[in-house]
Amino acid sequence: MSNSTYRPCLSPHHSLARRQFVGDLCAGGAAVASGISLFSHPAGAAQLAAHGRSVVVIFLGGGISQFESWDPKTHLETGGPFKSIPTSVPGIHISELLPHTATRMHQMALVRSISTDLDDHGLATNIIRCGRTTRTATEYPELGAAVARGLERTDFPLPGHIRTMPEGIGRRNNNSAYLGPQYASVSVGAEKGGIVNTQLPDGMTVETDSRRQDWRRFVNKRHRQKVQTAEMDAWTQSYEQALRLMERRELFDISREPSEIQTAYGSSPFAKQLLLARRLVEQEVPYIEVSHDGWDFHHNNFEFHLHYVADIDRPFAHFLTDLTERGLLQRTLVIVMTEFGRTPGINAGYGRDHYPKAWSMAMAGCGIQHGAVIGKTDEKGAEVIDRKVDHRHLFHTFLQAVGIDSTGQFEIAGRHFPIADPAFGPIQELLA
Amino acid sequence: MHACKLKSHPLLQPLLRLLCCVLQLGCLTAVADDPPAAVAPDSMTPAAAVSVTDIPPVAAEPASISAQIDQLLDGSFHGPEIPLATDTQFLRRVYLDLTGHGPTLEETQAFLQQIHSGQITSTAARTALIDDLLEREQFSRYYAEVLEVMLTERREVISYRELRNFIRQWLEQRRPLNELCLELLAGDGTGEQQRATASFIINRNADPHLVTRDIGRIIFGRDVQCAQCHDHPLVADYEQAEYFGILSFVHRTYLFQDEKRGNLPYLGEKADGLLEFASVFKPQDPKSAAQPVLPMAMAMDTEPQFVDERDAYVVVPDKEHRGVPQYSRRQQLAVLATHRENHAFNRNLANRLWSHLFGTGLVHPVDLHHRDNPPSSAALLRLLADSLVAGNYDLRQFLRQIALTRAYQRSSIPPDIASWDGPPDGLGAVQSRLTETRRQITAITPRLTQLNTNMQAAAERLQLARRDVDAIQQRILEARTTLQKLTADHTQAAESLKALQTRITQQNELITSLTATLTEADKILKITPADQDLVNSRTLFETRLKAAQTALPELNNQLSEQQEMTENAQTRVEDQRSRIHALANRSLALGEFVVEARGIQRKVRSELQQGTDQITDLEQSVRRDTLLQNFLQLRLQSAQTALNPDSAPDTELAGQLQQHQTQLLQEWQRCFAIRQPRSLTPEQLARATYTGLALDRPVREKAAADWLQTHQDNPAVRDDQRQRQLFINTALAVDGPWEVLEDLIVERFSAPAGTPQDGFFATVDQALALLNSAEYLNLLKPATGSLAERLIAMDSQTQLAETLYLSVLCRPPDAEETQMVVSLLTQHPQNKAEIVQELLWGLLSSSEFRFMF
Repeated sequence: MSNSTYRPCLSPHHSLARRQFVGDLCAGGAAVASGISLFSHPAGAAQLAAHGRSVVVIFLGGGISQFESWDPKTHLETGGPFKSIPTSVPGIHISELLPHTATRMHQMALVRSISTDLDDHGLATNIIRCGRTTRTATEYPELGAAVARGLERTDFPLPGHIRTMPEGIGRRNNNSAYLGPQYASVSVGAEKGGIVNTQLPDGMTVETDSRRQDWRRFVNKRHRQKVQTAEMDAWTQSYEQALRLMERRELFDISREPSEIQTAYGSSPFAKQLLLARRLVEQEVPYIEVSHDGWDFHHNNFEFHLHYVADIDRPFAHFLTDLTERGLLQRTLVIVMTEFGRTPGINAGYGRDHYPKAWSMAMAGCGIQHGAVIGKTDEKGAEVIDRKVDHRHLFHTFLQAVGIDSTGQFEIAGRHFPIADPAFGPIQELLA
Repeated sequence: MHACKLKSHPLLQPLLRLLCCVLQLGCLTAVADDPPAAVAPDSMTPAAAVSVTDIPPVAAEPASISAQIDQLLDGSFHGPEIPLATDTQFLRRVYLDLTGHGPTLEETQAFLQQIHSGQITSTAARTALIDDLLEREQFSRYYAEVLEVMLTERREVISYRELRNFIRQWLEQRRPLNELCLELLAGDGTGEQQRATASFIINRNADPHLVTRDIGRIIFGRDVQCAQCHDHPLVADYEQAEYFGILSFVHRTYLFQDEKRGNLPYLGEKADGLLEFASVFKPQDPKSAAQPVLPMAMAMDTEPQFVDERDAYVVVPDKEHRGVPQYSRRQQLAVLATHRENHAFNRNLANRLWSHLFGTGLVHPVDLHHRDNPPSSAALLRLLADSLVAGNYDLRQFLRQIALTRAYQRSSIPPDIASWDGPPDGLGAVQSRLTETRRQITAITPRLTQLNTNMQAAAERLQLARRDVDAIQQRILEARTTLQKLTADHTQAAESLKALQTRITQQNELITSLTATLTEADKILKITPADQDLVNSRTLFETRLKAAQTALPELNNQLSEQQEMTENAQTRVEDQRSRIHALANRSLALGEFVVEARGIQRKVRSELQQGTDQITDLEQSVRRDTLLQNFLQLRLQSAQTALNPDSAPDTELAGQLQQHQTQLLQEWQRCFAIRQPRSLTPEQLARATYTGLALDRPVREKAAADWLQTHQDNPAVRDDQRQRQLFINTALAVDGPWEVLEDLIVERFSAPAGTPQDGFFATVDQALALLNSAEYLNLLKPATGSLAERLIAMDSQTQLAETLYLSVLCRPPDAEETQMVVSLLTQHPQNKAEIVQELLWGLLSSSEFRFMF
């Protein structure tokens, strides 16, 4: 691109634009009058249209076997002991370990031709999460940060990038790179309640709290009469946002769901995380990631898959059903992600090792062709023989499925960043 | 053996020659009709400085730099008079900027008292305070933190405490900043005292791409990231060659886990490895070979060529040994990157330090120095970079000059543009200045065109010279391959020779044995002549002996043939080695022309930079004046409309006027005529909270008493202020409440590791922690010596209000604020302790505390 298209931003406050539209500034919205537009980057118009969409990623850490899930090769000696079964889409067969999921195939799509080149867990996770070829986890924003930024809404009281955890509550993570910590994931516990520090400290009454808030507002208001900047407003606003979040802390509490719904999801930590994810989808949180770890079966691959796949199958299928019944699936993209596949050969310990050369992923919900199967592997599942794609195509595809123009750029504090790898594009035929 | 001769060739000679060449030519760069202030010398040697400009060399009058800074800034500002910050605003600002913490209540009171009593003028008090703070041990401690964060961006493998400690000592010894950066690029992690110097690279896991990017960003202020795969799509300045230029210096460096040294990571380096690159957008294009070149044409063009690998290493790398090459590219990088002739380094360092004191750099973002993101004042950036060099990169001296400026000391409360009368000579003056500036731009343009042509010519010349060297290098590479083959041939011949020799020796032994056996058999046969078996055996031995004797001459023939072959192979190896050596010498000679061409390129580049700087400032002046002109015209129009009683108020006009005002204000902030409020860094915020609550007070008092006690009999030590401060500050650094605050605040308020650390962000987890976390709220509870305890003990509510505001915000409350505090206390007489904590909490949560004004 030529020089003339590069416009250095003269305002250091550009990155704050998003906060300035937040409603209740103490002295009204005049704070914004510095010529800053919320949609100053090319993706703006698409964002507007995409309001309310959500992405839910189910990350199967360690690397699920494509043979025991989305791309079974039952005719092979090395195909493992499990059969393949038909699904709700004629012609598509998946592993018999996924009977419940098979009934939802008409809402799903499979990509069976992913070929990447890193077989280290950490490095492979980096590239699949951020859609770029990098060796560093923090160089590019992860999908969640890109989605949180791309689907951001001005008056949204909740964090836009949430990672659920079975229990315990983490802090803000380092996964938004240049997009800034506002888009980093916040960890939320599904079992032991929500986000850290959302309850008043022991011994503080609501009355005392509102007294101290009034005093804080008084101090801020007086000072704002003298000098006022977007950054200062963002600071005072973060307290108000925190207070709103505290009021909504029950959103993170799945025990508020009717007991029959809790039962329908199941009691496993994974099922509870999915239930939390559904509550958050209802709130239109842009990105929620649920993780299910431990898929690295170098030994006893088949025995472990028998249990592990069963652990995700029913809750996952129920999650799709629940989203469908509530009318949420039409605005939610669900991705079952992992970092690489497993070897076609079986090792001496009845395990399968890391195999990035030919593997699969499943998707469901909005923005994609339902019942589609993209690409093909050869007889042995060793090579991709049709429509080879990698992490970069997938990243474009995920974003475009929820209406974010992945060929655009993010503008952050005066600099421009291509949203996805500019040398690649989406899997066009997969997009709805 | 050949390498020894190469080693004796002084590596730096060509470089030195080049420097001389640049210095001699450096004086041709001035443009005749420049305003003198705009042409601060590019090269900082006094000789060059004098010849370039009329102003005396900066080095001669370091005290005048702050005046020069103000002069430059005032020259580009035509707005209303901006007052200096109030004494209390200045006090808080300068404490935070030079020590990282706020003043204590007593320090605030003393500072204000001496001015109010007329004992000293405000200006003198400010100067004295700046000098006082710069001399404190806390200054070194705080800037160790600032520089550590700047350099590592909170990436951690080697503990940040280790690196901070190293930098703190460096600053205590008042050593130059460029040498610090040199050490941090050169360090390999060996040597306990020096281990921290490897942090820059080891904390990035010695990943060559990451290190390349961050050297670009942090050392040169140029984010060449996207140029990794193709020329930067958005920034025309950043070429793929620049990325690979830096990468060529670092890609041979690797992490080495040393079992002998407690399995810690160290840096090893290889002696070979050439890089080629091609654009991902043009994969069909031929690949280009990468050269070790830094931005601004600082390059390593005289690398010695080795005959073979053994000559290339001091320690050959293997599983147990860290590679140490004879000639380390990383060591060369460390020197070139931080040398005072490296303008990219100087400008970046000056800009980053300026940015630390002002919240924004002259170039902002600070890692995007390039043509389309020009400095707000190129002349000022030049002045700052030059004064950094002239002051031999002394941090205190540099910051002192900035802190003394009116620009630094000005108010950040924006002026009321609506009530401003406009510039002294009105619209006309603005317009004639515009005409004049445009004329100057037209006058300079042909010269810039010429310089661009020169730049092109210099690049072509360099390319030609480079081509010769590349061709020789290619031949050397091929010759090395041949040498490897010849060496293998020789080894094989020598082995055959050895085998043959062994065989002949065996043959001779066989003959000797058989001869002896025959003699013995004859002896026996004399005694038992009828022993037919023995007779047969003897015949057999005899046959064998004959056969053995017959074979010997042939073997000896083979031996001499093999000997000759081996000698020939040996000669061929030696010939080949000397051929490579000869080529290496030719390469050296040709290298001289590359060095010369590079020098010319650097000189032209430097001239071009000066030209670009001039035009940048002129263009910005046009932009500012156009904005001012439009604003004044709009205001005139609006005034005329208002005079006409029949016309309705023009809301569109009013809107435009408002928009222009906002733009003017931003523009004035950008050229530092008005200061921008800026957020405290995470460390400043934590430390301001700590000192604001006077949590440090008991620790300080105890440490001071301990010091007196320990050294009561040794007045020399007892009265050594530096040692005493070191002792007290060390005690503060490990204080429990401080560590709680550090953990709580620094982690939440700092940007993620590996991203720029100078931006502001407010996230909900920060607010939640300050709202509700018990660790934080516990620190507000009264404790021995703390502010809360003192406030609770106060009888006078007015005095309480005053102490509260002075301690936390470093200013007295106004009447309404006092009134508010008093009424809160009065309404809840039973809960004084609780109210005091709420008062403290409110002030600490306020934007006035979170930001600096």
